[in-house]
Amino acid sequence: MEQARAPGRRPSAPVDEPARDEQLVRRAKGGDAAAFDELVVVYQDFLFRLVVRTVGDREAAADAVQEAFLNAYRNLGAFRGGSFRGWLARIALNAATDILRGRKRRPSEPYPDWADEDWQPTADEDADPEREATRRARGRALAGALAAIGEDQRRAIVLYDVEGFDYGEIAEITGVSLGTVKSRIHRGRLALRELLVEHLELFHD
Amino acid sequence: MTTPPLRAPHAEHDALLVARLADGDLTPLERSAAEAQVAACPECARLRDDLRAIGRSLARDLPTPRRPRDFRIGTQVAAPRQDFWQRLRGPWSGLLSPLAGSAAALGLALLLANGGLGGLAASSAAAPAPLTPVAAPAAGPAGGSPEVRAEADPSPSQPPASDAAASTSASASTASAPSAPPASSAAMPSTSVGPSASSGRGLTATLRPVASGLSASPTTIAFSADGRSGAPSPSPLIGSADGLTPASGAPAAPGAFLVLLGWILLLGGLATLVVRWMIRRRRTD
Repeated sequence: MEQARAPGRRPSAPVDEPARDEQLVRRAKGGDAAAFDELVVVYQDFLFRLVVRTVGDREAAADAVQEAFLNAYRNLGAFRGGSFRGWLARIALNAATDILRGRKRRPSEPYPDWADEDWQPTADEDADPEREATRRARGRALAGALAAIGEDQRRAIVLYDVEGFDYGEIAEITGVSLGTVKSRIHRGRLALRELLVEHLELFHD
Repeated sequence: MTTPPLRAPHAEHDALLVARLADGDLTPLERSAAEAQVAACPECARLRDDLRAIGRSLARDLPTPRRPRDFRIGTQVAAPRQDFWQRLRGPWSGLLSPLAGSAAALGLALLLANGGLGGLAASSAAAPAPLTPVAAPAAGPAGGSPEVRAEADPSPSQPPASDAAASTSASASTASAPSAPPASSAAMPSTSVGPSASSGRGLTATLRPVASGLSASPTTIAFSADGRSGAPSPSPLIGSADGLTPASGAPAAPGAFLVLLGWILLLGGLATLVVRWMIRRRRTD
């Protein structure tokens, strides 16, 4: 079976990431708190980005990320190697699920602050203003559609298309089978396309 | 939210096949079938292109939320939790022992200089013996503990001693009892009692603490004729017989405060040193 990646897909990890993580984890397990904080510094942006895009609630996402790092530190002995990034993602997404379940509510407007600097698209200083405006419009349409699809599909798509995990890693993170992961991704993409049908010209520049 | 169907159920299967084609998630056989379908159906070809474009855009264009805070946990839980004894040790702990020792030494010096140690012994060994001319005979212990006795003590039980310093000046009219010099001026402070020079009706008691061989300035306390109100003289070392409280009715004298301060410093310093010792012992356990 071909394992081609969607064009433009990010590499899942820098080459030296596993070795660096392994070293820091080993030091943290030995009681070096600074080493664990180095891991936090490395992954906190990624983790908050992942969780807030999945749950759509900044407050819940921040709480989930903080809880995830605390849980990861407390249970560092349970980490048996592999992708530390994926291990953190699983802990954070589970924490987010628990937090949202505890609050018994969902954000009424998952991506509310489009004018807020906290939600600005990644700046591209080299782009001309027209292309930049198109890109921003594309990002907004995409975020709105992403917030409208099912949570399982959104989680799978964010992990796969946005954060660059492969099928197997997503299966481990989400605790479902490989076939389920693929199905969620493909159906989720189809759902996005259906929601974006009025804006598809933005995606063919 | 469930996935909205693109077409009829059979067409949805085709859409899934195209979606898998767009992602490269096909076996060679499936891939051949999918490419044939896309080649025959422009709508399927557009769907494939749309899905790939959406995939690219997800990786590049999605707004990036800014994290609201730093999630480092070093200051929260990473530091090992300290127990009570560890919390007692701080950056200031290095100065604690020298300060405590100094305080204890200063307190001891104050007590020795003001007769505080002797006063305490006297008060703890017997009932308070007010320094009044009409006071009951002092029932001081026969041992060598320092005590304060009035030379006007009429008690006949104390044998006279040949001490030049024990000269009695108890010529006051109210102190008619025969003089009874202390048994040993080396072990006991001497007290001379005489009529008050100011009024002629009272009595002046002068304490000379000589306990433990240490001499100190005499303490002079003036008493009225009724023996109840003690007016301290201008002497800086004025106190009651127990060395802790001023004479009845008298305002707090500087000497008493010094004695009290001495006890506070001595006991506080010693207590601190004991705690420090317990901390060190706990650390080595």
